Amino acid sequence: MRSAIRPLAPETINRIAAGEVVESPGSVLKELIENSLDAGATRIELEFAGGGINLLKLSDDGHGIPREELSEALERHSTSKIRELTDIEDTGTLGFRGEALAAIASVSLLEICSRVEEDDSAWAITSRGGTVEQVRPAARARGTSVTVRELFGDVPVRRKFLKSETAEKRRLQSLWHTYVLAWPELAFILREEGRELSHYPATTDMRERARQILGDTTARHMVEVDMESEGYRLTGLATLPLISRGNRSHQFLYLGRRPIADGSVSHAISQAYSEMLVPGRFPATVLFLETPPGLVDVNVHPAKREVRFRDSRRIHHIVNRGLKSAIHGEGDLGQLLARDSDLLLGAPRSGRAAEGDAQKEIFGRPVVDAPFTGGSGGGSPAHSSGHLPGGKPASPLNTRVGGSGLFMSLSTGEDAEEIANSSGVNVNDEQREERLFWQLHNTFILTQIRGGLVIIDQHNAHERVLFDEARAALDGEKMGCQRLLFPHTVELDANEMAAWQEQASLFSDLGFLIEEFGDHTLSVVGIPDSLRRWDDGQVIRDILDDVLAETGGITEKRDRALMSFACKSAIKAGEGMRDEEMRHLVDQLFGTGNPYTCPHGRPIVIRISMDELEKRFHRTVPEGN
Amino acid sequence: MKITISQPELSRLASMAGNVVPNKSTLPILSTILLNASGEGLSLSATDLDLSIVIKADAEIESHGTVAIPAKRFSDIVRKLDSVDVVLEQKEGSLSISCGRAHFQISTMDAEDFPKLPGTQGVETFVAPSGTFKNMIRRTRFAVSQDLARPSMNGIFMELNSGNITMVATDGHRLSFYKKPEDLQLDNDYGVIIPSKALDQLMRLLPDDGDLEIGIGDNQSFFKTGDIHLFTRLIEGPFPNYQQVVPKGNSKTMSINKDALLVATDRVATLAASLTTRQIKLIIQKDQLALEVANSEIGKAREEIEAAYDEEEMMVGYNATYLLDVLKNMDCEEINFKLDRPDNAGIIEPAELEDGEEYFSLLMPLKLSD
Ligand SMILES: Nc1ncnc2c1ncn2[C@@H]1O[C@H](COP(=O)(O)OP(=O)(O)OP(=O)(O)O)[C@@H](O)[C@H]1O
Ligand SMILES: [Mg+2]
Repeated sequence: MRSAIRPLAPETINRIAAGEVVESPGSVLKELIENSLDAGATRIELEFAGGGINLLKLSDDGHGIPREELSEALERHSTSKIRELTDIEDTGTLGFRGEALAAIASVSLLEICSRVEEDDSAWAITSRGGTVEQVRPAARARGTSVTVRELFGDVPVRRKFLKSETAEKRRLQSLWHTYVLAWPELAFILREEGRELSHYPATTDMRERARQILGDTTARHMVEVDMESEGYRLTGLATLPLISRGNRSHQFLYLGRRPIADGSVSHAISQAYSEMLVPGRFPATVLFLETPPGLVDVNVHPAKREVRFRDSRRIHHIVNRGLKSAIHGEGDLGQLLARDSDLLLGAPRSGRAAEGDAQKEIFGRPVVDAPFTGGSGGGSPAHSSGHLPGGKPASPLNTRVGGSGLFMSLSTGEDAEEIANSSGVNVNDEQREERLFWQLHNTFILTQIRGGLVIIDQHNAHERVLFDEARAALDGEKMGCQRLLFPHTVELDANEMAAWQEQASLFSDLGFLIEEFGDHTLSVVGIPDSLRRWDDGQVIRDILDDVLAETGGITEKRDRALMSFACKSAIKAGEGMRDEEMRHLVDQLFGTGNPYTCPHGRPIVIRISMDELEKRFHRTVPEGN
Repeated sequence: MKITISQPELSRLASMAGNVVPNKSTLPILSTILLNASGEGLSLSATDLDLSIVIKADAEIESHGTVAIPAKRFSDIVRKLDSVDVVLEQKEGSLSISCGRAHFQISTMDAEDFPKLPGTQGVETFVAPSGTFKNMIRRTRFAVSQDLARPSMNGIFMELNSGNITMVATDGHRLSFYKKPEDLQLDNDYGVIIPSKALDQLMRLLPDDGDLEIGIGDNQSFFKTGDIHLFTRLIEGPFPNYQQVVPKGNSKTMSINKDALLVATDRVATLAASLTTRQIKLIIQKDQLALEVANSEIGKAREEIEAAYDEEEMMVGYNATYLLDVLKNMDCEEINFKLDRPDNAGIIEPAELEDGEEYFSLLMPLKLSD
C-alpha cells in the first residue's frame, strides 16, 4: 500500500532540518553562545544539568529581542542579521541563517526571556516541540536568557545518538572553552546544577585568558604569532617546542573569531613544528585567521564548523610561515648561516634571488613575556567596534608586534651612535673594516653575513651554550667550581629539601659544592665558575623550584634543572660584551647542536636579508641580481 | 649673575663636575651643573643624589646669582672656546656665554629644583696624606664586588683609628687588604664602606701630594682636597667578617718574580678568555711554577717559570682574571705566594713591605673536577 504524496507539515520540515543544526547539547550551546555574542553581550552565563540534555540555560546581557519580534525569532529563516543572500559575504556576525532557534525549538521545550533597553519589562515566550505559545510578561534585566529543556524528548531516534551525560558534559565544556578563549574581553560563567564550575572574568590580555584556559605553564611558554601576507593575516599564540601535548586538543583555530576546523591548517601547524617536536607530539596554538573579503565561504557546513577557503594553499603557507617565524624568528636560517663560509664580512652579496617568499614577511622576534591587549582597546564591549569591515568578527589580537620596531631603532642616528660606542672601542674607518660583531643596546649581537644582517640574542645564545655544556658536564666533563670565601647558607622548605636530595649529584656535576647543614639548610662553599647570577643563593632555590614545578620523569626534571641553571648563568640583556667575548660566544653557539632555539625554545638568531632592507628603503632590486 | 673666569679654569672645573653628573637620570635636574656666584665666590655643584661634588673657583664676580645649566652642553661649549676670559651672564631662563667673538645663549633649568647638598656640620674631620690614601684605594679597589645583590661588598671597607688606616675589599672570591700606620689623631674608631662610585672619583680627583681632609658622619662622608668637596653616601654594613676567613696557617711559600709571573699569566690566559670558564692551573714543583690552560674547544697553553719553592708539590686552579688583577696591583719585584692545600685560599703578598705596613691579596681556588 502506498501513501499519497503530501507536503510535510512545517514542524516536520523543521525537525528534519534540525538534524543538521542540532545534533547534541553541544551544538545547541554553540548556537546559543553565538547568538549572545552577536547580541553584543559582555557577560555570558551557562547553567546546565544532565550533560545539557535535561537543561541548558544561556543568559547574556546583550541587546535583547523586542517583544514584537520574540515569536519571529523562533521561526525558520527569520533573522535580524542579513536581509539578502549576498549579505552572507559581508556578515560580521556569527549567525546569518535565521534557522538555529527554530531548529532547536522543534526538538525541545524552549523558552526565551528577553528585555531590550527601551522596554521597562521583560517578555517571555515558550515553544513546545515547535508549537509557539503566547508572549507573556516576565522579569529580568537587559539581555536574553534562552532555556532549552528535554532535548530530543519526543524524538527518540535522535536521543539514541547522544552519548552518556558525562561525555556530553565534556563536549559542552570543551566547546565553552573554545569561545571563552577567543573572547577574552567577555566574562564567562559556567554552572552545573547551581554549582559554579568556572568563572573567567573579562580581561584585555589575551595571554591571561590563555593562561586561564590552557594553564600557566603553557601560556608562559607561548609566543605571539603575527604574520600578514597579501591581505591574509594570522595572529595568536603558539607554544614554544618545549611544551607539547599528545593530541591536538589544545589547537584552536578561528576565522575572525568564529571557531573552525581546517585540515590544511592542522597540517601546516604540524609541519611548522616538525623539526622540533617528535611525531605524535603537538603544540598548543590559538590562531586567528583573517582573509581578504570574498575569499572564504562560511556557508558550507550546517553547523558552520567548516569553511571553504578559495585558496587553501595560501592559508597553509601563512600558518606555516607565521608559526615558524614566531618560534624561530626565521625558518630557513639554518642554510643561510652556515658558519665560516657565510660569516664573511665584506663578502659581496650573493647573486641568488632572495629566498622566495621570505622577503615578503616581517622577520619578527616574538616578545615572549610582553602581555598584549585585546583588540578593541578601551574596554567597551568589543562587538560594535570589533567587527572588521571585511566581514568576519575581528580577532582579539590587533596589536602589531614583530620586527618593525627593531627596524625603526636601527635607522635612528642616536642608536647608530650607541652601537658604535657600546663596545667601548673607538670605531674609526679602518677598524670598521675589521669588526665582525656589534652589540646593540647591550642585548643583541649584530653581525654581517653574506646577503644580509644577522641579529643574535646574547642571552638566548649563551643559554643554549651553557645548557649544552651543562648537559655534557653530566656525562663527564665537569664544570669549574669557584670556591667561596664566605660560605652561604641557603634555607629550604621540606619539598625543596627533598628535591635537593634527589638532585644533589646534578648540582655537584654542575660545579656546586654544597654541604647539608641541618634539616633545612644547605651550606654552599663553591659555585659554578660560569654562574653569573648568584643572587645570594636564590638561584639554588629557583633551580629546585623548577624541578618541583611539574611532575615528570627523571630526564625531564634534570633538563628543567639544567635549563634553569643555564638561564641563571647566562649573560643578561643589558650586559656589555667585549669584541672577543662576542666572537667567542658566536663560535660556541654554532658549535652547539641547535644554535637556533634556546633550551626554552625561544629563537636565538634572526636574519634580515639585503633584499628585505632594500625593499624597506625603497631601493629597486634589479631582477635576477 | 654675571662673572668672568678664564677658559682653561672653567673648562677643567666643568668637566670635573660633569663626571659626577649621572649619564641617565629620571630627574632632569640631575643632568645639570649648578653655578652659584655669591660673596664667597663662584662654586660649581653636581650630584647624582648618592655622590655630590662642590668645587670652589676663582672668578671675577660682578653680580650674584644661581643657575642650573645642562652639564654636557655646558662643558662641550666651554671646552671649545678660545683660551681667554669667558663671561657668563644669567638671563631670564638662560645663560649667555661670551668668549672673544663667540656668543652662546643656552637654556637653563630652575635652580630651585636642584637638590640641597649635604653639609659638613657635625662630622669628625681629620687629615691624611692624599697620596697614601689614593694609593691604598688603587691597590684594593679591584676586589670590590660588582654584584648588586650584595651591597655591603660594593665598596671598600675603610677602618680608621688613631694609629692606622686599613682598607679591605672583597667579592667573595678574592680579597685585598692594605693596612698602613698613620697618625690620624682621631677621637673615635671608624669602620665605613665607601661605594665604588666615590672611589672612582677619588682616584680621579686626589692629588699625589698634599693633604686630604676626611669627614665621617653617620651615613655619609666627605673628602676635601684643595677647592674640591666630594660628598658620598656610605654603604650600610656590616661588612663581612673578613678576619675570620683569612687563613693564618698558609705555611708553604713560593717566592717568585712578580713581572715574570704577570707576563706569563697574561700570555697563557689568552686561551682562558671564555665567557664560561677562566681557569688557569698552577703546577707548583720544586723551584718551578708551570702555568697551564686547557680548553677542550680552543686548545692548550703551558709556560714554565722559575720560582723558589721547597715544599710539597701542588696543583691549584685560579680564575686567570683574578690572578692578573692581583699581580697588576703589586708594586714590587718579588712576591710571596703562600699556600696551604689546593682547596684553600692562597695568599699573595709583596716580599718586602715598609715597617708596620701590611698588604696582601687572597684568592679562592677555582677547581675543575678532572
Ligand atoms: N541572545 C540573543 N540576544 C538577542 N537577539 C537574539 C538572541 N538570540 C537570538 N536572537 C535574535 O533571534 C534571531 C534568530 O536567531 P537564530 O539563531 O535562529 O538565527 P541567526 O542567529 O540569525 O542565524 P543562524 O541560524 O545562522 O544562527 C536572531 O537573528 C536575533 O535577532
Ligand atoms: Mg544564531
